[in-house]
Order: sequence, then C-alpha cells, then structure tokens
Amino acid sequence: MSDGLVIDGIALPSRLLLGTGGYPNRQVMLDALVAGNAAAVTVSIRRIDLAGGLESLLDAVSGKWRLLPNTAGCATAHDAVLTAQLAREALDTDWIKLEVIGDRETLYPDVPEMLRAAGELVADGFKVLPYTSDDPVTAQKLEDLGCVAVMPLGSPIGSGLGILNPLNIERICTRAGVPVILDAGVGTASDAALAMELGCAGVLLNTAVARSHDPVAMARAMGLAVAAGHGARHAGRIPKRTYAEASSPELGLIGG
Amino acid sequence: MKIIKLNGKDTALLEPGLLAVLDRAGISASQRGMAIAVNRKVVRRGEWAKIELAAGDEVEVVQPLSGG
Repeated sequence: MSDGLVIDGIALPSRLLLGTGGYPNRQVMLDALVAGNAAAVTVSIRRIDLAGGLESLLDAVSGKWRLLPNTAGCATAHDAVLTAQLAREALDTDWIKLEVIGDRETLYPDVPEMLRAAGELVADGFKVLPYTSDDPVTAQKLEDLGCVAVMPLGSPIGSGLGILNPLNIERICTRAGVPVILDAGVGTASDAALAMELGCAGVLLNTAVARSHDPVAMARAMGLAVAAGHGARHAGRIPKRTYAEASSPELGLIGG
Repeated sequence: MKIIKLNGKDTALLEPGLLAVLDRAGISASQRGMAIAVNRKVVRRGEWAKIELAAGDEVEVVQPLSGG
C-alpha cells in the first residue's frame, strides 16, 4: 500500500477524493478518476426519475472505487439523516459525507443542523465525514461527536477560490485527532498542494477537475499536487525569513 | 380514489403492494443501488414484497447519481 489516507482503519490508495458530477461525459469522468488515482469517489442520492432515463453510475464505478455517498442539498438534519439511511441501503456502505446546507447562495453548512445530524448518524452506526466550515471549534465538536474525519471548506463549493483562511485550516489540522480533508473551493493544483502543506490528510474536490478544459490532465495534476504537498509537509519546510540568505559561499569571491 | 405520494407526486393507489406500485410507475425493482423509504423509514430490500401501502403514504425511491 502506498502512503495513502487511512479513515476509520481503512487504508485508501491515495489522498485525493474525487467527485463524479459535472464531467463532459461518463468516459471522461472514468478516465479522470483513474488519472487522479482517486482514493474514493462521491455520489449523490436522488429520487429516481419517474419519467425514466435512469443513470447507470453504479455500474460504472462500483467495485473500482470506494463510494462515498453524500447528503448534498439537504437543508435539515431530518432530511440528511434519512438521505444517509437511504444511501446505506442503496450502496451497502456506512460511510457518509454529511452535508447540511444553510444557504443556497454560499452553500455554507448549517452548523447546528449539521452537528445534530452528525450525532444522530454516529449513534446509528454511520462513519460520518462532515463537510464543515473552516472553524476549529466546530471541527472539534464534530470529532468529539465521533466523526471519523472532518472536512472543512477552503472556500465556497465550486468557487475555485482556493483556501481563504489557511490559518484556520492549519489550526484545525494541528488540533485534530482524525483525518482532516479539505473539501470545497480548490481551483487548481497549487490549492491542493497548499492544503496538504498545511497538514491536511487529504483533499476532496470535484468542480476543479470536472469543469477544467481537460479533466483527465487536471485530475492527474491534482493527484501529483496532493502527493507533492504531503511530501513537502513531512519533509519539513525551511522557516520563512524576512531577509536573504545566500546559498553560495561568500569566501573566494573574485575581486574581493 | 386512494392517493399516495410517490417521489413527491400524487399517485393513484390501485393495488396496495409496494412492488405493484413500483411496477405501475415503470420502476424496475431489480435494479442495483435502489433504496426505498415509506413514511420516512427505510424499507430493506428484502421487505419490499411484504409492504402494503395505504392512502396518504409517502414513498421515496432513490438511486445514486453523480455528485461531489
């Protein structure tokens, strides 16, 4: 096993989790998931369209990647819990990416509802991976409730604005006893690398790959960035200085 | 006429069996990844054939779709 992410004792093949939404077509999505060496892939749970046109997503991804169903779009703990329970029945997994959205414009989480849902789901046997704000206090509460990871946002979902509050992300990582996965806001590879340099255990992204000009190439770049950032974090970066320090020896300069 | 809510839509309940309701709606009960809740309680797949619906019941039938 490579230096991958471990969640609730399960070793995953990489530290990059990828979404399955918004790709130009199914084949590009599958190629991107391969190129990024996705540790797990997220799926949504939605009503079957009574007018037909069933999507065979499960046939395409099942058995190839660990599936992480989400409760995307839920606005209450009540709906999120039911969606999670349906996801468990549909996909035979107790992993759930918990999302409880408080505002349609920002897609920021509704923290009180999310905490309530997290508590109910943990009590019901779920392994909860909550999408949360970049607030260290909330992250701690989620860990205390028994969540197996915490997933703070870098910036609003789909915005591509990167990590707006790196100090908070680093603080969450420093305090957490469970894996911290940056979820939302990544726009390009340097954002993913920064998340890892700040101490995140992984990165979850979708739009930055799916809506890029070349999703397969971007997925590959994201995988490399996550690995590079993780490597740099553990190699130990030099301290920042406010003055220059020459690399070449000062002795022996000609004309001296 | 007895009416149930099937995925949010008013639907005539012509036969009480859950599987009969699905069949009339054109939903194949054998497809992978489908899950059902009746009145907000998940019904395990093995129980579907035993479920009889009543007027006013709310049935949710879901499947995994793409998402982030």
